[in-house]
Amino acid sequence: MKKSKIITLVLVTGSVLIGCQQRNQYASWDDCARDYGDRSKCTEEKEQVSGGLYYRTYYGPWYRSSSSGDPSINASVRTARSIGVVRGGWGFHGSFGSHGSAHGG
Amino acid sequence: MKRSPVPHVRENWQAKLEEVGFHFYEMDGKTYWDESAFYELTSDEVDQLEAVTEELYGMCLELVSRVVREELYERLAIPPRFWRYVKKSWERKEPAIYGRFDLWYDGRTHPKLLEFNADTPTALFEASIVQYYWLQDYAPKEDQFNSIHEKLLDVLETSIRPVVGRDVLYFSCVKESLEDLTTTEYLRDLAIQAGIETNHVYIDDVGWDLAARQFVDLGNRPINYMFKLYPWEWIITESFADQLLTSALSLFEPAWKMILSNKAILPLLWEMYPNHRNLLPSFFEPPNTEKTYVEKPFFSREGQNVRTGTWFMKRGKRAIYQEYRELPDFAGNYPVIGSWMIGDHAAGIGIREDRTPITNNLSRFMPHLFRSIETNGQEGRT
Repeated sequence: MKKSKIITLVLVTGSVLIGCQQRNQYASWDDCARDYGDRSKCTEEKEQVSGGLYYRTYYGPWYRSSSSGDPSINASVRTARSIGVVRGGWGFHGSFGSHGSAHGG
Repeated sequence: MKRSPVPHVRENWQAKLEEVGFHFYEMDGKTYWDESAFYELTSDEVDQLEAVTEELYGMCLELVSRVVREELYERLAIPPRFWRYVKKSWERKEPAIYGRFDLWYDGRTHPKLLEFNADTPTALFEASIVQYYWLQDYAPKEDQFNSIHEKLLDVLETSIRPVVGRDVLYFSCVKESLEDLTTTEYLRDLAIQAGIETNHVYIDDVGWDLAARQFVDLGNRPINYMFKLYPWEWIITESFADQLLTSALSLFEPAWKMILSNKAILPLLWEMYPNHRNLLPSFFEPPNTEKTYVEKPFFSREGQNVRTGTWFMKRGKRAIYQEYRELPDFAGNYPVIGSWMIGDHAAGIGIREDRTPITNNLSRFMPHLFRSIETNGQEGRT
């Protein structure tokens, strides 16, 4: 027998990947609210890390993936919370791959 | 090995694919997943492919060892500032997860290595999951050379989890590629099952904290371990390359895979193993004889910039020349065997075919099966 005996998937399901949705992640309510101008658009989730510690993480609403980010956010506002952290140092070639893919072969 | 058209495909096949999380069965308006036919192999053929794949991988590891020992990085166009980085990765035995050998194979003679996709191989989900469920529907009593899923789980449990420990393993890919997101999320799924703490970050969203001098996610949390579905040759030539050299970030696939994700390994393997039955003659210089050769850039994706001919004017230093071998013709279809290495083991195959002899990114993925000894002679199809 050379096929897998059983296959279990816990994350990949029928609808999760449709449309490449994503949402922005924030370190605080304030950061999220600043981007969206409305705290009710933000949600809080706890993410467990090692030793019983957890991070509180804040998310904006889901939107269709875009290399320019969530179109509902004013770009100048988004830049403001990124002081001290630079982004975009990788990913430049992404749009040059076939189908936008970075896969080889 | 034979190609068998089927009388009819599964009812609601698109819905069945979507149920398992596979949505790119058409690309650019053309069929990508094609179950109107399948390839049938014999048990001996599968054994042969399995043995050849592991032998080739062993040869590749010998090659890496030689490159590091003799500092042959220049022959692979690896920038000098990354030589030590690659060497340390190899000496630390950083674990690899996967790779895919593309093999010429007709079922009658020895498989031949066309190339090794050692860093960001395509078609993992199709090979591991989609064709598995096709077999469950179409011929559940038959076997398939495909234990990719359970071998991935094993590698993540036994090789990756001990490295990551209680830290978070990030999974990263480019935005706006459903194909890449599917692969990345599939691997993250397996990592979760392997007991690894995970998170997702798009490669474009990875940040560099100027004060802490570390890579961070969108919540500015440190990224110490990251699987990146993004080629090494891009990682080391884009803006964050310098930061990578000074940070604590560990990437998967490991940095020593930089050596193998490069067509220059083909002439180097030919140097080390001349006339090996599973290699095609390959050279750094154009042979310019009466024989037909294929010119392949060191870094070429999905058949891009590949040229075939008998006479070449060498284009800079970054191309190799591999003897042309016409792909086997199965009623006007030209298959390439994608043979998967997961960790240190051959784990299965995926077959892509085209209507031209050079496989490209629009090749169709075809499922396969073989008759296992237990069911040999019995009708297993439903």
